[in-house]
Amino acid sequence: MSDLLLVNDLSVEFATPAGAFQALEGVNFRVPRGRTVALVGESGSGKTVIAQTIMGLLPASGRILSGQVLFDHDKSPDTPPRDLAALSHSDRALRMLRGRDMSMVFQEPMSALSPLHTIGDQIDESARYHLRLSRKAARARAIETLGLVGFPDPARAYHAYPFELSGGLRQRAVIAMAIICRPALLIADEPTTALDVTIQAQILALLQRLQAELDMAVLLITHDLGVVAHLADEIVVLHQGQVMEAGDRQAIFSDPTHPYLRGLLAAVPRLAASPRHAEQVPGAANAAPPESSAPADVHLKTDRRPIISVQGICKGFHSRAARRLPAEGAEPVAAVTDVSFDLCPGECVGLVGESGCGKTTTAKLIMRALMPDAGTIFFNGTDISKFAGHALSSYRTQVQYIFQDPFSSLNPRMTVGDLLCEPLQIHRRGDRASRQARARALMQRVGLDPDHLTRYPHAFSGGQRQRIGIARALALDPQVLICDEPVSALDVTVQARILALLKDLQTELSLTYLFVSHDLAVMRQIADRIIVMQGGRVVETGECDELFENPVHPYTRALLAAVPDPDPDAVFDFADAMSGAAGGPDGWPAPYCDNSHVRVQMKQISATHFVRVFEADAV
Amino acid sequence: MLRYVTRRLLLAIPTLIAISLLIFFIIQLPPGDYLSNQIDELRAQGEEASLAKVEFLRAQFGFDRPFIEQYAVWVGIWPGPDGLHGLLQGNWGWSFEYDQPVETVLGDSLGLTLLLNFATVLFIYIVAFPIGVYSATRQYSVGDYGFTLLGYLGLATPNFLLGLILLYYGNLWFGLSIGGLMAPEYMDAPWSLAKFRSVLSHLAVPVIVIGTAGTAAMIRRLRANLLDELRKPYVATARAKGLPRGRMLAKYPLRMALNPFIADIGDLLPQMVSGSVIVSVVLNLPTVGPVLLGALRSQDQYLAGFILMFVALLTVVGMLISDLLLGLLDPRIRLQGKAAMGR
Repeated sequence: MSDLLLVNDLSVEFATPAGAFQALEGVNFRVPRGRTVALVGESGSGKTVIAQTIMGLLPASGRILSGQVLFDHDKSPDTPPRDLAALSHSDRALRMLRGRDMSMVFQEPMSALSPLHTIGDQIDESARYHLRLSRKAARARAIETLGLVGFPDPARAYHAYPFELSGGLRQRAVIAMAIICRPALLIADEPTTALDVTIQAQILALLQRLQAELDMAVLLITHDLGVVAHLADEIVVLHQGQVMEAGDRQAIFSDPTHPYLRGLLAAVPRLAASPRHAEQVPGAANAAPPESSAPADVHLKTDRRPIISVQGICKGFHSRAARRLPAEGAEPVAAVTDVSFDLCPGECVGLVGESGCGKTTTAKLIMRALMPDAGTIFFNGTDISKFAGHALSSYRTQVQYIFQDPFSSLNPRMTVGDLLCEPLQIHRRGDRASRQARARALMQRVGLDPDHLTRYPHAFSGGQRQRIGIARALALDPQVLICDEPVSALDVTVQARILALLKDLQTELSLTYLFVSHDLAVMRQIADRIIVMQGGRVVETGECDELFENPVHPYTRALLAAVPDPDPDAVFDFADAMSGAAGGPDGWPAPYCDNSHVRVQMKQISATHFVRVFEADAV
Repeated sequence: MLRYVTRRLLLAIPTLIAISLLIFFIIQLPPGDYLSNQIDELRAQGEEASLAKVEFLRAQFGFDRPFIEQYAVWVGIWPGPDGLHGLLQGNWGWSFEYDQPVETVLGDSLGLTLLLNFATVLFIYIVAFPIGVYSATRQYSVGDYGFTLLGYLGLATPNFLLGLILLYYGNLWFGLSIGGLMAPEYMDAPWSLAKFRSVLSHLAVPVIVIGTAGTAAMIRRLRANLLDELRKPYVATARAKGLPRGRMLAKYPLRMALNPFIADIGDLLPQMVSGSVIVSVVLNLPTVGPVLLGALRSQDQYLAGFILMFVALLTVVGMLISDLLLGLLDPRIRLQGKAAMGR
């Protein structure tokens, strides 16, 4: 079998204000016909540059220095493969290949689709242009393709706008757009990174099925080794524009030779192994932590008084249209319904769920950024809704927030020093000199050079910025940190380091964490206790290890099943992950499904493990 | 959609009422009125005989009545001396300065103002669009820099100066008469094809003069908008489909970049009327701008009030048009409210 794509000694350079930057240095790899090749690497490794070079979509500042990209889309042996690198990027010949013989699926389906055009309009235009189909024939083909990618009602979807579809369906539409001309090569650039785990499993299964049905080669670009382990036939590992290692999937995973790859594999958080250690939980030994003013009755976890106690909170949002026409009787969309849990000093509670499950709303309610419609939140026994004036501002110093996106959560016009001093300034702590000293100490604490205080955020990498975000949250000596997806925007190796830092800080400063995340593997690394949310409700809660080893609720099981483990030998059944349980209450069997005849209750499985069931009083 | 249009039309009514109240109130804010100023002047000159007529007018127009009654009579919801006879009944009011009905004073100038403004808007769009698209798609090219320079020149040159220069050369090269919107012989002639042609040929100079600044601003904004759009992922998706560049540009990013300009239509109309006053004075254009200026200075309240109402109506209608166009062109506006309602 010949190779469909052969990349030979490819070097690409970008012109930047700081001078030329070489993004690719002598990259070699191949994509055999009808197989999947995964390009793996962290951000900045040049994965996307390779895709752009192949497609001829390099930005104007990019320049191919040397090398060939041989594309043999024609199966007949007499036509020689064409060198895509030699065709300039506005060349008609290259444009004719684009969309017809090779096409691309992008990361973020919402922004990859034009919001002003219907799905059908965007899908069938390449069929009309490349295959010269009539309007009617192109439409028929688009509807057929929409059916192929799993739209339940393709004819209706044809007339839908992107914003009318869910994230998963949008990505299916993007895939339909890419395969309508039945290309020989499909480049998928992080196709599932922006999606929830259960949706990710469905999209990956779809890619696998399409590849077999259409006999298409797939170049999969990803940072997720779990995805790679189950989808790729061959793997190419990139680091700083160079190929570190390439080869068969089995070989790569079972015998990684390059130290970079070994580090990468080691950094991946896994569901299976438990990396928990005793020292994570601040024990009874240091009963009175130096920076905590809490009374010393903090020794045994079981009889600790909760620092934050959430009791039956509900929060609904009115949609815009409903607000304008309240007479229509539109009910508010419930974001959080009857959520209760305790946060004990020194523990890390994980709040898990997919987008829209209410986890961020819960975090915001605790921050008092929002007020609950019903229910109460207690902080050290006091109702936080009663806080006002001085009490409120003192509460705000006690509970701090770490944001998901380290790029947009730091003001680009302030130096790091100003960013770290700002909370102190707002709460009128100390004078200029003492604030500066505090900022220096904070920098050291999070592992950054205190001399970099005068720099601006753009001078730091993603991981360093997240460290700055953490330092800022620590500036006021809080007792509780709410971490909202703090590592989901970071590369795996950076992710591992940030998690380690958070763990160290928790021990050293006896902090309490509420850790919000969609990533179960990350949760397993850091959380003591996990709360699984779905549709604004808590469906299961339990000690971390117990929950992972013995998940009871069908939704928790679906969540766990949907995460591909970075181990090629582990059986991963995509079809299983696509079972109905992930979708919501409709797919759950009794006693988990909604049953109006029986009272809902949190059924106790073990001392700390509870699951939401509709059952007559049991136990 | 129909419900939306009806609601917007109904909303326009209270808007216009509020505006008319405000206009009437502001016009009356300065002490005195046209007639009492006149009376003072006549008294100073000792012309007691003319006083009687002015006093009669004062009574006729109810200047001695309370503000709200004057307003109601002007609008036509309260019976004046001639019964209900106000704006609503088609009576535009009386101009004291010209001693004529407002209708006669304004004459053709309303229509000519609309014509001039429409032509200017058209000129701006026609010139700015291709240049803006060119500048954005070829950012930092020689052409982009050239147009940028021209644009800044256009922004910085005083309009009236440009107007005088163009008038001079228009007269020198094409034999156009100086000033006005038509050759002098058509000034009071009834409308004919020849008069229309004369108006068209005289439109060129004012349109260019009034339009340059707007064009320059529009090029800059379109360029910036389009540059933002060009960086968005959906453009990369469209390019990955291998569509021809022009077709791709027109279908996706340009369509997106258009939204702010459609939203602007409502603002453009009143800006044109009030913004082109100086040019109109310098070029001696028979538009309402100079008339409004004079009326405001002499406190000729019904004339000023009517012109301001006219501009307000233009604004409201312009806003309505741009909102409807936006709803038509952007499915997010058209459908999202509905989708949320269904949930």
